Amino acid sequence: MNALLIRSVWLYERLLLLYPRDLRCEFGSEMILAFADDLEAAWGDARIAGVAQIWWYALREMLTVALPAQRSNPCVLVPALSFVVVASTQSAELYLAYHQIARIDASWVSDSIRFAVLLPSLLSGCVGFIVTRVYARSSIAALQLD
Amino acid sequence: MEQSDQQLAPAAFLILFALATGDKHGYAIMQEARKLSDDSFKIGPATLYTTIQRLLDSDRIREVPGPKDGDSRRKYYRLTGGGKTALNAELARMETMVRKSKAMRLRLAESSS
Repeated sequence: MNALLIRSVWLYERLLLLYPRDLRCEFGSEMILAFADDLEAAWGDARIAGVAQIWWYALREMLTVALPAQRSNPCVLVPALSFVVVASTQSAELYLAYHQIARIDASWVSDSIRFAVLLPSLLSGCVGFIVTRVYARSSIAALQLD
Repeated sequence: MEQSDQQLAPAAFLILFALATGDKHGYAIMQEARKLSDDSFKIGPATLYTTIQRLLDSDRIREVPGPKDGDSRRKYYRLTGGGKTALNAELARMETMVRKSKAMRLRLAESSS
């Protein structure tokens, strides 16, 4: 297996975290094995194009299988919603700000996207995740009536 | 409604169909399903194992020990009696649909001529 395939399998292994815990625990290692086999066969058949196709299917499955399965999981839903809401409001503010400036510097655009949109959105997502985790633990403790 | 009367999702149908020819592990099921659908339906690992989980829960397939010389990391699956019934029911349903559509096409051809 070459470096590209090894890195692809490594990344897929990380992305499995987006799938529901029970599926991961029961079939996680087999999913990785099947993905690695598929990747190797695709590399043998069509090189980069084959690998790209396998990744396309894997990413499509993230949207069609992983995310719908996580709909009811607040630890995923709350941070994701928080990220999207902050990213969209900050992007809208940035868009309006650009219209007030006569001349825009390219480096300023990438810096502003990084620091005014991505950073607060990521922070908001992280805070959402931590709060949900803490709340989930404390509410379980509170529910133990006897 | 009985379990065998429920229409199977395309992925579940292809997995049961792939297992009809013998016990297989996940990747072999993926390959067989692709072959059976003439490459028109690609099952990825997530779709495969989500469907396998559902089929195991509904007792349509079960896990069996793999061959002694096989890869110990792989789990093998076998069609159960319930799985065979569901597959046969789905095939019968498809046959009925094909028969009806052929009859309809014939009627359409007759009415247009």
